[in-house]
Amino acid sequence: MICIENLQHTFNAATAREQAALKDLNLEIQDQDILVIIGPNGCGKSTLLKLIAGQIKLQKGRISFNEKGINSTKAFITARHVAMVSQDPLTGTAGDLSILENLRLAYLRDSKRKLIIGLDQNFRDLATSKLKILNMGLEHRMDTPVESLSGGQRQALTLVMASMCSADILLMDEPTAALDPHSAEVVMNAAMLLIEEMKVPAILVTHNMQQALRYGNRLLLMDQGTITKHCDSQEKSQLNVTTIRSWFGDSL
Amino acid sequence: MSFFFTALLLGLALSFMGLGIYLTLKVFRIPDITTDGSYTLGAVVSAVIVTNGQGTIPALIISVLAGFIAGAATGFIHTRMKVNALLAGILVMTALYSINLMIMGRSNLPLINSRGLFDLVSGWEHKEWGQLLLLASVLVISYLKMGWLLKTDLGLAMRATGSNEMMATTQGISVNNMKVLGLAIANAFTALSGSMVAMYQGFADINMGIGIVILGLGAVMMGEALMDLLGVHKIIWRLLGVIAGTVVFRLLLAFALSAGLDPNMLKLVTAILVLLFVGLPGVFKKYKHDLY
Repeated sequence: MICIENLQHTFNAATAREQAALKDLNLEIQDQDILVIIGPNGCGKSTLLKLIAGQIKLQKGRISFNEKGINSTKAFITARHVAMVSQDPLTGTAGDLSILENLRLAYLRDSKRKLIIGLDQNFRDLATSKLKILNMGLEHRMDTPVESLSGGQRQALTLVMASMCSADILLMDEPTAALDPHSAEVVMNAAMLLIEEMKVPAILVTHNMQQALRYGNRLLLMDQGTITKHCDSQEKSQLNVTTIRSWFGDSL
Repeated sequence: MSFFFTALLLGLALSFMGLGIYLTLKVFRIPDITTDGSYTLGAVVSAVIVTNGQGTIPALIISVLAGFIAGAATGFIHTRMKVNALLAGILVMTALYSINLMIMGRSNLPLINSRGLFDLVSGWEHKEWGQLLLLASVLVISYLKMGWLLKTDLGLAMRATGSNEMMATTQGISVNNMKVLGLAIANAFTALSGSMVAMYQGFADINMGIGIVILGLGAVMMGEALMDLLGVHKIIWRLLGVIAGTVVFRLLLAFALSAGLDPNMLKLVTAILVLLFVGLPGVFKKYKHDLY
């Protein structure tokens, strides 16, 4: 279970450009939850994800994974507990390295990197089985540099990388924002399959209301750094796009 | 012929530095100027140890260690003190000038009684072939070691750091530690180059490293251009390209000298050659783009 208590975050504190990104946010995410967060730009969605991932230093409040607080100031240490897929397909993969090498890096996310060559046949078999889930044929191109893949393929690979190593939570920050509708569909389907396989709670931040309705069992609406609406599974099933649009007017 | 053969041997001796510069420039994308200082450091340490009769193996090991520490210092200044990488390199290089003078006790130290590693072949009838064999042997070992390192899990983490720092961090990698380690290893290779050149030439000089980084950069660029031309992407082949680039670059300079170039103009020619390798691919790309 992920527990977020009294989370507050302010950018440019004590300056003329001071901006409160999160205001006393409280949230519990159960092990089987797939939490969808929507909200207008600047409402604090990405800040929340970055705080959970340790990419921004915690200012006030507490985030705990399975009752253990994460207050490390080092993003790479927190990253060992968190699988993350960002909006930009280029940020989640190392373009100069091959698909197989990227997968190996992700496989060792919570381990020490040793002076051994781990790219053996056993690992190749594991990578093949993972890539097959995508049904994109990437398992036949494992030695190809990632920079030669399309945006959709890179994003799908980032998802597989997220699933290569056990994590306490999977964070997806608008993972399909930069993709065409077909690639977005493929990536989201793969995401759901991988979440099921990983058996981890997940947070999906999206601007796409169809996605917000289709995926996940809980829906959060954020505005001005707070949670303004919270729908559980049953309430969510009764929502439609028009209802959500009415909550936010034209700002979504 | 022997003039070019000497250039070939020097090219091989400088290839260790080429491998180090490949690591910083191409893997980490850091232009590391520490090279000028760590190259001389390797030469100075080796010269002092060999001159004091303490043997070749200690000379090589301690030179490499000294280079490692120099590179780690640059890495530390860059990553922990948040100083620009270029400036961090310049600071360490400047400091090394005094340190090198302090170690050597004077500005030039000839290796009169012993040539270190090359003593092994000093009795050979054609000792230049023995020197070639020795240099090539150490180079093959270093090349294979570097190729192996970059394929290991640690090497992958180093390459990921250079390719995409954000990705490396989200995969639990300390990019700062990787940079320190990378700079340290690169400068260890550079110091090995200095050590080899000092033992081959028979002296260490406080100014021998001035501008050497440009030669290394040119060699790496040339090797990379060659591998791009051949469409080779595997690291192990690209490292071979770096060695080929270093040797060819050295031979080109030797050719320029033999064609009557004023030795005082050598640095200018080196800079122009490097500029050609760095700048021409961009010019060609634009030309091609304008054509179609």
